[in-house]
Amino acid sequence: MRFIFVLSTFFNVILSQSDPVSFSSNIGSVARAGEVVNIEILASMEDQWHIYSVHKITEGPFPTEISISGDVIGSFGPIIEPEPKYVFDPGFDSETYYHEGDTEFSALFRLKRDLEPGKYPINIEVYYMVCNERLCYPPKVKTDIVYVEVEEGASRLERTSFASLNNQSDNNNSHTDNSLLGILILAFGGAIISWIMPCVYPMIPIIISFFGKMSEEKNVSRFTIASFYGLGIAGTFVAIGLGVSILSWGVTDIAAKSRYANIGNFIATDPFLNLGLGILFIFFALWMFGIINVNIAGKLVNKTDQAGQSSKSAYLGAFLLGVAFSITSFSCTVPVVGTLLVVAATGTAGGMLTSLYGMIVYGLVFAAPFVALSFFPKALDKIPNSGSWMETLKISFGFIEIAAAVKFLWVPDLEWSIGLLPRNVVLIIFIIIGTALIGYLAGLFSIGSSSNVKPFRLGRGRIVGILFTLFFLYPLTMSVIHPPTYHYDGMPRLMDEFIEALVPPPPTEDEIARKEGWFVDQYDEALEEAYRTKKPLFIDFTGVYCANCRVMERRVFPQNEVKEQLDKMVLARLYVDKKDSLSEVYSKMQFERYNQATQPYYVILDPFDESTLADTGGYIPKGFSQFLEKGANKFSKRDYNEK
Amino acid sequence: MKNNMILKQITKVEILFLIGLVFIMSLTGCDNSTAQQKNKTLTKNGKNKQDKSSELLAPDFSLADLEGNTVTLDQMRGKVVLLNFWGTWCGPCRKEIPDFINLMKKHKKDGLEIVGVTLTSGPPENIKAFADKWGINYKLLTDIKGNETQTVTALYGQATGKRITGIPTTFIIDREGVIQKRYVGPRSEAIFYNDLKKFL
Repeated sequence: MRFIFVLSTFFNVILSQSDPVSFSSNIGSVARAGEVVNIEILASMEDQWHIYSVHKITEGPFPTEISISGDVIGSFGPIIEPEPKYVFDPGFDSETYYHEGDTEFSALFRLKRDLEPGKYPINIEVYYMVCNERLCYPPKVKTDIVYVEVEEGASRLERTSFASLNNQSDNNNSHTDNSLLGILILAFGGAIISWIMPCVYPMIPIIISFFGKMSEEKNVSRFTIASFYGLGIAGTFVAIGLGVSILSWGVTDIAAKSRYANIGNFIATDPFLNLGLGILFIFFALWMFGIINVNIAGKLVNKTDQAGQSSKSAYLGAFLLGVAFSITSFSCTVPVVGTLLVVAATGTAGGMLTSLYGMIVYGLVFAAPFVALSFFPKALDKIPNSGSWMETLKISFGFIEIAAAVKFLWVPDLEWSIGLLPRNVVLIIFIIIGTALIGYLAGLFSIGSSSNVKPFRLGRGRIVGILFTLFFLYPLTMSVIHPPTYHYDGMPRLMDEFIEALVPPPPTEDEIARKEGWFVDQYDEALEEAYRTKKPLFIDFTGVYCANCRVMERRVFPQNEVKEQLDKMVLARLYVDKKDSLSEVYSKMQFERYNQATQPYYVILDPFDESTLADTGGYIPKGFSQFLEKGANKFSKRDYNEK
Repeated sequence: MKNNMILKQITKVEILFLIGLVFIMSLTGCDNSTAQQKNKTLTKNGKNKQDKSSELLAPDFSLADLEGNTVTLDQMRGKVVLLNFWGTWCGPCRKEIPDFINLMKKHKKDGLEIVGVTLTSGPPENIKAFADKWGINYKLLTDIKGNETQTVTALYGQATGKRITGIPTTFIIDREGVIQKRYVGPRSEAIFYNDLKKFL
């Protein structure tokens, strides 16, 4: 009897050492630095034994966990499993999801970007419990090592995204409403918002002046010239849209497409263009002050008169004025136009048409009030004493033109790191200009031809002008007194936004952000951190030139309920408009993944598979915490956070 | 100490038979029937108090109950103990729970003690919540601070000469502390009672 007992005992010792599941792993082909690599992990199970699903987790059994580690891993991708089988398990009183037979899992990771060619080890760890109908083996860990071979060369585009290798993840998170109706509504609404953007102000005196001159000419049809002007505004947007469509036609390279879609940012931040505009506005200012007297409008009209032709050149002038107006306002219209350009950059006939319609609607609606303004000089004529009135207005606008010139000139200064116009200098210049304008309006001094007009009287118009200027002087002064501090919210938001659109970005914010735990321009590091700490990843696609981004950082992020939500996430701030390779990567990422080319753009990401939990864009004064909460809740509902 | 002696004994015997084993086993085609046979042997031996050496004494252990008090098997000497290795994550183990509850209700008065050694199931609060949800009316034990439940599992595997790899695994320990029966896989109330009644 004893003998049999021992026999059976020993048999069972041997039996128990054989595990009903075995694993083998295999790594994909040779990869390059920065590329996504796929490790295939094959689980072979004996008949009737099963392991549980990685992602579909129900109360009860331990899910299978696959983790990889290695020095060369830049960020982790998703673990992919085949669709698990499921069965109602009476023991758990619920459905359980499991794998049986031979099951192939995939673990994706991205190689670091700075790797020398060679072979590098990747450790694989599988934690699993295996069960059959009657028994469960307590969870255990199996490890394996595979070697990834890194070859020379830049990363290949089709291999840099987890999504491109992850054909099983459904890619239905296309967020932009690219339907025609959606685009038209966006274009219409965006155009109305653009009316009140600060970038359009400097052009207003030019318009008034130009059309004021035109109104004196009898042989120029007021309606026709206004139409040409409107055409110039709308046409510029349509042309840019068409240009992007044509450039993107048949292009499959996402990087190139993203570049075209970001043409708006490019125009707004190009140093040469801004230098040109700055000089143009200095010229405008001198013109307004009457220091130089090149009357373009008058000249054009005179020429045509001499030629005895219909006023073709006048129409051309109006048209060009419209074009100039569009381009000068571009730094404010980019947020809206950018979306239309993304559609245009799809490079398809449908995309082209949709963006075309969108641009037409945007251009026309945007142009409307300024075309209406072109009729204004006529109405002005009827106001008594209009000559002196106009003169004062012109001089006042001259001050605004100088400010506008400074606004354009600091862009090349910043781009080329000249350092003549840092933020505070620009602010102080604005304050001096504002003070001078008040002095002028209060009659402390006079400029140009104003001396030969009527004796000074502090009329209603001048008082309004002074108050208006004071209204802007206040935030400017505050910005100097309180040097650009991150999270500074002691200013009304409209003023804040206004200032940020006009002055160079405060350079120190990233440093403060880093101290607050943000990953600035470090996507992979942030992703890794989020993955490690099992937190959702908050991405802030931002721009150096993005005014609304600054406003969000100062006014919305510090709100208690927003901060509370942000504290639960890993925070990444990615710049898309720095002129470096990382910005290129991030603007591409924003375009490729979210179909967006405007900032700020906020995404809450699941670090496990880089899928989107929630995303939104623009200035969101209210409801931002709800947006964050939505993302966080979605994350906590994801299966793999059970553990 | 007793345990160690038994351990050594078994190891020695095993080494002796090492060569012959594989051959014989391939003939016997050992499975549950062999296990049953073994268990019958055990039962008989348990009743025969003269033959102490063949008795399989249940190793003593110290584990924590869900309130954090240390509980030892020796404290339960004098009762018939149904020692169940299980985990909240184990489906087949859960199937047994209602039957254990019923057994406890009916036979606690007869000196039955059911003890669940809860493996890798998280902190005591989680197990407590689970127990409350299922209405578990018997003792659940868990780790004190490390992984003592694993040690106990290994101990019982060694003591019976058969490693516990899968759960549920359940032992009947009689009033003298002798292991009388071992079950691998879930059983019903009726089967447990049938085996238990001769010790109650």
